[in-house]
Amino acid sequence: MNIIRRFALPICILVAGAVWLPMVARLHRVDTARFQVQTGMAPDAAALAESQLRLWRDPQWQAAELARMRQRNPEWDFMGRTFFVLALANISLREPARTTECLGIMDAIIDETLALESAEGMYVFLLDYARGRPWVMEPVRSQFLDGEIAMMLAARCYVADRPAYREALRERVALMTERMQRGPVLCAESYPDECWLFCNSIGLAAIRMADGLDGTDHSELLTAWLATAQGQLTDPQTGMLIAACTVEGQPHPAGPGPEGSSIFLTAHMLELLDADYAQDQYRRARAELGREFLGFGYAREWPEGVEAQMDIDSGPIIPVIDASAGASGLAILGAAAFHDDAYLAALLGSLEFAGFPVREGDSLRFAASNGVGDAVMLYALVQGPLWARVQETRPYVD
Amino acid sequence: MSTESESTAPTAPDWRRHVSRGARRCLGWAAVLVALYLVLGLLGCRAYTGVFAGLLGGHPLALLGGAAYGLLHVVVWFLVPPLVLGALASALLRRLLTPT
Repeated sequence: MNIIRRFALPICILVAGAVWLPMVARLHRVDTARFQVQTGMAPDAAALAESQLRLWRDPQWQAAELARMRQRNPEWDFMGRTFFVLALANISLREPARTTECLGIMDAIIDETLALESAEGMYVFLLDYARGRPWVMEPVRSQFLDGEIAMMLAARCYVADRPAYREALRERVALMTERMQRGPVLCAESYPDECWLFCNSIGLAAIRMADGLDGTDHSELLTAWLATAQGQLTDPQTGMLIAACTVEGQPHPAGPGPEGSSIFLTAHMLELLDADYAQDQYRRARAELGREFLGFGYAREWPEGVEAQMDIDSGPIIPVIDASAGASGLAILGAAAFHDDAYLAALLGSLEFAGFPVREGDSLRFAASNGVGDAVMLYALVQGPLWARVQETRPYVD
Repeated sequence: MSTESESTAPTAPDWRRHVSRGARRCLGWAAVLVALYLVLGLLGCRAYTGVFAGLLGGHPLALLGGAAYGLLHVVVWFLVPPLVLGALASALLRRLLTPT
């Protein structure tokens, strides 16, 4: 009896922990309908859109916020633009009454992006190390910029055609296809001798979108890319696409294997090329990288057993459970795009708990995130209609 | 009135006797952590939790406050309730095991 009295406290704490811990996620469980609906806009997605729209409606705030973000990481500024334009295209298709407003903002973003690129060159959106090493392909261009700018132009033209943008899209597509076909693995550089599959898959999706708009046919390149990727850019252990390779097709030390911050987005982009292959990539990513802990969903940056260093793509990694902020954010996109409802609910629960949502009036942002993070989440919650519209055009893989 | 105070007065010290020193420490720490969490929240540190994603520049104190708030948010939700519940349950258990 004395022994029980003596150890009563640790025993009771352990029992209380066992009872309490599984309840925490229940208390933070979210109604996914608040974030994502099949038609129209879910309330929290609309609120998230509102906070992003404010940024582009207010030139002063926009200048300050974008300059701050570009100073920290110019890629974030650029990717924030891309994901927000994609989100706006989907919002337009979901709520046609908002098309005029959305087109105005999309055009403002595209024009400002093109003007910045034209005035300051591609390095304005690249990390500093882009200047430090020699590029392999001449003339020097970045697939990161070409792919995402082409994607923005194409998304805009799927909502409403604009001849100047169609022409700019054709030019980007011509540049990308020429450069991709030069390399043995059909990938173009994002950074010096770094071909990121994140960027190349966006480029491929943009080419596919341009084909749908113009009736052109790049199916030979797209099917060849898929075959090459499955043969030479796939990790043999997991069957997932690696994150980066050299122009010659060797895994690049910066991303020699699959990465959570890349594969979920890549799978989503590849939906436009080969839906079954994309689904298979998502399924593998979910199994290798998707995790739940005490009911909270998250994603790892690397598969188990892979030794790698935290970097700017992975974001901070929570020790022990190896949860990656970057991978988890993009896993929301993957889960939403591939209709993985249970995992999406678990991820949104984590977002509600650890994202520190700030609701002000009719707007929502996440204090633990920033502009690009919020733009990715918004796009994840509204994506669907744009891809459906592209898929209505000529499919390549029967 | 006098009947009520007569009936409750002897039981309070009796209860306290069963709360071990360890349990008191747990309750004390729980109170400190919750108080700190609330104070940092009132100071607006929640807005600076972006430090975890390396997303904010800014004053080091704000970054420190944001990091502390984020850490306490996890601790207060995951650790404090088992500490409090465990301490109270242990007191109840010790009370039940004490021969009358």
